[in-house]
Amino acid sequence: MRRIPTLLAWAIIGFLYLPLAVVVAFAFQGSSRLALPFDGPSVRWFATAATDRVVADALLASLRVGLIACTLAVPVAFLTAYALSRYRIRFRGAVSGSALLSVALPPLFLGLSLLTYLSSLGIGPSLDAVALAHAVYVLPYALLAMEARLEKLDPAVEEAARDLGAGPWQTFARVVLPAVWPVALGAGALGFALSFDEFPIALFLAGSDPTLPIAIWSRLRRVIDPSVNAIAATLVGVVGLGVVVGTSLVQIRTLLRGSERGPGA
Amino acid sequence: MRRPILGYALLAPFGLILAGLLLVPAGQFLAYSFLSPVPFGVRFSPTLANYRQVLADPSFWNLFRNSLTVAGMTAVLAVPIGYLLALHLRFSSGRDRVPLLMLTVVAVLGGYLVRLYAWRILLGTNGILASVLSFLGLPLSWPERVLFTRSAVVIALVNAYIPFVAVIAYGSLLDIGDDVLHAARDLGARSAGVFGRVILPLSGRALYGSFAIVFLLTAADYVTPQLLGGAKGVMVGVAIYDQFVRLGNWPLGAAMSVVAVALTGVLVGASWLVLRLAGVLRG
Repeated sequence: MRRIPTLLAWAIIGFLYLPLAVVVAFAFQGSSRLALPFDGPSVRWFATAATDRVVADALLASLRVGLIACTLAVPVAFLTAYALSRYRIRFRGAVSGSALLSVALPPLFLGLSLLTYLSSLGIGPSLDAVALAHAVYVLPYALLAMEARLEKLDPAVEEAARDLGAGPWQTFARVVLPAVWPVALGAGALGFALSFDEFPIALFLAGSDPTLPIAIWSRLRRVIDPSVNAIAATLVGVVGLGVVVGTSLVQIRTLLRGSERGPGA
Repeated sequence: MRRPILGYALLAPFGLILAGLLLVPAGQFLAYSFLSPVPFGVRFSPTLANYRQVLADPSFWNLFRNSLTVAGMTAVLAVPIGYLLALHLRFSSGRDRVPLLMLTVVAVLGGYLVRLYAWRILLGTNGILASVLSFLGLPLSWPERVLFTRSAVVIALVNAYIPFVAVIAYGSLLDIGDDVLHAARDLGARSAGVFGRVILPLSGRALYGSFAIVFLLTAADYVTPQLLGGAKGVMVGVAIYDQFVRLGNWPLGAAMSVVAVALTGVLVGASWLVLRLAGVLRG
């Protein structure tokens, strides 16, 4: 009897990972057929992708977007979480809840409203526009992680530092920062993974410089190109690594508890 | 607790980002739906013509109905499956709990487009599922018939949203302490009773919340139907995408979005009210 739930859980996980496994397996397919039988393993499609100028540019574009988005979102998340946990703020719930708007709002509308807004300001689609949009997209996750960390950091420690003569900057550098930076790094890694994977918002804003998912998308609409599998497998690898690093630093449990406070929940 | 002024100053960057990149653009988007179109832009003469056009357009309603059907089917399938996974993650005592949790979380966050694309390889003509089925001696052709239909869209979306539901449900199951479960047992409840009378009612809000989010997000999906839906699986999101990207009628596209979001929101809100009045959902 005990076995059945375990089997069921693994079956569900198997279903979840089936598509990713297929793409990664076919990235190592020897022939150009996207069907069985499998003849490999071969890295020829990785070699094809690696010499592709468009893919290299898209990879750089995605790296740049992810880095800018996280550099914006993580410090802002820290300042916000710090203010919420250390100061008497009115409408505290509304402030931290409003960050979740971008999670509950379909990417279609986030992308479209930014596209029309930026173009009315005379800013056309560009990678910087994507980076700004991704900062908004990543912010709630970073905020959840920071709030969870600062809740556990006793304000009395900071007060003690102040009583012992430390100035505000010294308190920040010697007390708050050492406690917070692993979570900041973790939130950054998570945010980077989220941005690296994000497609439906970016499609509206990227213009003529595709990010990696957009490069995959435009290849899907043309002839069958088996190197797509190699590009997609690389993307999955980067995202998976980012998520694993991120969640191990951020502490999965606190993030999960936070997610329950999500909109509608 | 210290001087609040500094606290508000620390909140300023957050407010700036939220207002500048979310609220103001959303407000302007709403305003655009009341303006007149020029190609890929707007002219400042207020009108209700866009809404009249949307509301009178039978193809809009057709697509919207498609979207609601897909969203409803996705949520109905993804929520129970995700909940089952969450129950196992919370209550199993096995050693596989931690790796399963990790795999679930990673699945939420990664591979949106890649997974959609994979369904083409899986379902396509001579696709993997067809090959595997015929290898097993089952000459079933359903995978080939499924690709480029609404079913393919639903399969892909269910696959994408199960981990999402599992994570939200798991978060709420963590809040049900072991002491509560011990109390129920001590008072004589059997496993089925503990589940039906304690665990399920206490996870009602999270289940409804995940149902609502999955419904809202899938109803507005525009990528999955383009990749997997074919002519039979078009959804309203694709039509909105076309208005902005291909046809360039922004006010009409904005009006379509506003109508679709408002009606979906009203549906979700009404279902919440009904469940609340029927006593299924508490507090």
